[in-house]
Amino acid sequence: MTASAVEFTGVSKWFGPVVAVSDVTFSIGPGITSLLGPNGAGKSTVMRLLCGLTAPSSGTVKVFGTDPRSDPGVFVKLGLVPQQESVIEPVTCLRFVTIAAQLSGVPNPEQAAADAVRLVELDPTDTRPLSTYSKGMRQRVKVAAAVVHEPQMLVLDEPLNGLDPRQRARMIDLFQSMGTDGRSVVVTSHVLEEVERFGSRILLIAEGRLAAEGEFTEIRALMDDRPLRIRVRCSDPRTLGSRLISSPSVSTLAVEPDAVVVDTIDAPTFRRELAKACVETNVRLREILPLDDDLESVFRYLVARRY
Amino acid sequence: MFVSLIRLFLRTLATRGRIAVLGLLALGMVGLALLTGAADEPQLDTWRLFSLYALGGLVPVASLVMGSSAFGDLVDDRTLVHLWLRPVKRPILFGAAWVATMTMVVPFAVIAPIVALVVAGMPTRTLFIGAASALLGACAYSAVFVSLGLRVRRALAWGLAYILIWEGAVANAGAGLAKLAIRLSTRSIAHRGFEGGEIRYPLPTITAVIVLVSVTLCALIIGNRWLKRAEVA
Repeated sequence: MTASAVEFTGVSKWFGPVVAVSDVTFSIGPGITSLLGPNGAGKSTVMRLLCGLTAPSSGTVKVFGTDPRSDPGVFVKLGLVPQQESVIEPVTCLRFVTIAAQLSGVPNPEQAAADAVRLVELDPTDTRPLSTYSKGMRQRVKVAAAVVHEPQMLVLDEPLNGLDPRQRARMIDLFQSMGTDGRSVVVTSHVLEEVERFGSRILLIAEGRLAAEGEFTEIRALMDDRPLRIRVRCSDPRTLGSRLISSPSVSTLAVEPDAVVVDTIDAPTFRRELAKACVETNVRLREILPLDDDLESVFRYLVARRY
Repeated sequence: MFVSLIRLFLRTLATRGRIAVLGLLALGMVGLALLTGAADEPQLDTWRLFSLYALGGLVPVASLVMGSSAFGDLVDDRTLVHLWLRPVKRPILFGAAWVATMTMVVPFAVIAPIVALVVAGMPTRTLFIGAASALLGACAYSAVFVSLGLRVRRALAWGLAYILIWEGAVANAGAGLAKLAIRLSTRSIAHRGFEGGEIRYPLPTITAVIVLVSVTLCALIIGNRWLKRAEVA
């Protein structure tokens, strides 16, 4: 028996000329693991590989020691909440989850389905077909179907999409409790704050590669170390620029008609020096705007650092 | 598990539109059989109707409409993932889709044409052989179109092109090519049920049966392999 629930070894996946995942190696054990990356980074392809929905072009994927493509029996231990909204529509919520339970070999499928439906705060007596359900309700139905057989590993592709804040909190609690129970919970997200709430180990995927892995705080530190470009709109850019150019926290500086654009590798020090410079030069600040603080630029930086 | 899967496939297949279209086509068969009763050679005309309308149209079209949708709908609306991710052996999954398809096809493509033959007063032997030819044809076409639904997008259009171009035109163009059409085998079997027919079909009954069973088995095996190798969205 393997120690890790999931083992990716040198896995690549390409679709024609497009390389979606490139030579990725990692393992996943118990607890919550987040696959973090911008849209198009390859997270969903990694998910699909993990669940056997697509075959790797090279490398091997093992889930609980077996190939999920060739051994459907592994799905007794695995539940997936896929990203797509679609569910089989001509049935009720309870029927959909009951079918999932029956196909997974749950001993009392009706009872297990009703319990799973209640777990996600839906009504098992609801007779409406799933086609009438909202996006958030469908998302919860998919979660119920994924957990109805109490899998050892739960895989969630952007699981909080379409949920209201209360439901998000409820789902995060549910996934965290599964993680602390000793199960493996794998979550994809492109929202850093979402991953922070899971408090999980992170696999950072960018441009199809594993850019970084570690605990959330380690990844966050990597992000904070990167150079930042900041636009400072002010009343007198030339005067402020002259004052800031000598600051050790400033690596490059450009003066624009209504702003100063600064590259810094030490944002906290720069902020203190900026305040001091404004007071000394009597320049009025209008706006401070980080130009590359979005997640995509963070990923680009981490990828460039690594390769 | 197998029954649950069949019930699920039946629910997705039994849309009002499909049932209405196939129901009208089946009723058309019965209606035309009533009209042939007034013809000069009612039994011959009824038999021609069965051969052309039922074996040439109703059986392949009903199999196409249902078969191409069994997996085709799930692939198109990206819900196949919900079945794929269950610990179900792929042959069971594929078999359930085929059985559900057959369950939907038989009333329109086998029972309705036999009712038409009964209405027209055809003898019992003709009814049995007619039913066997339609049933074997439905098995083969359904297996082919269930597999096609897994392999291509817009399987309905591709299947229609196959029925019209290959089975309808190319296979009629030459005796050699005709042997590659499912329709030739179904008509060859059905022909044994009506001795008065002036049209002769080249395949011996046993050969036609073997061809239809072989097509069914090959399509099921290939379709099952496609399901195992499917790229599920």
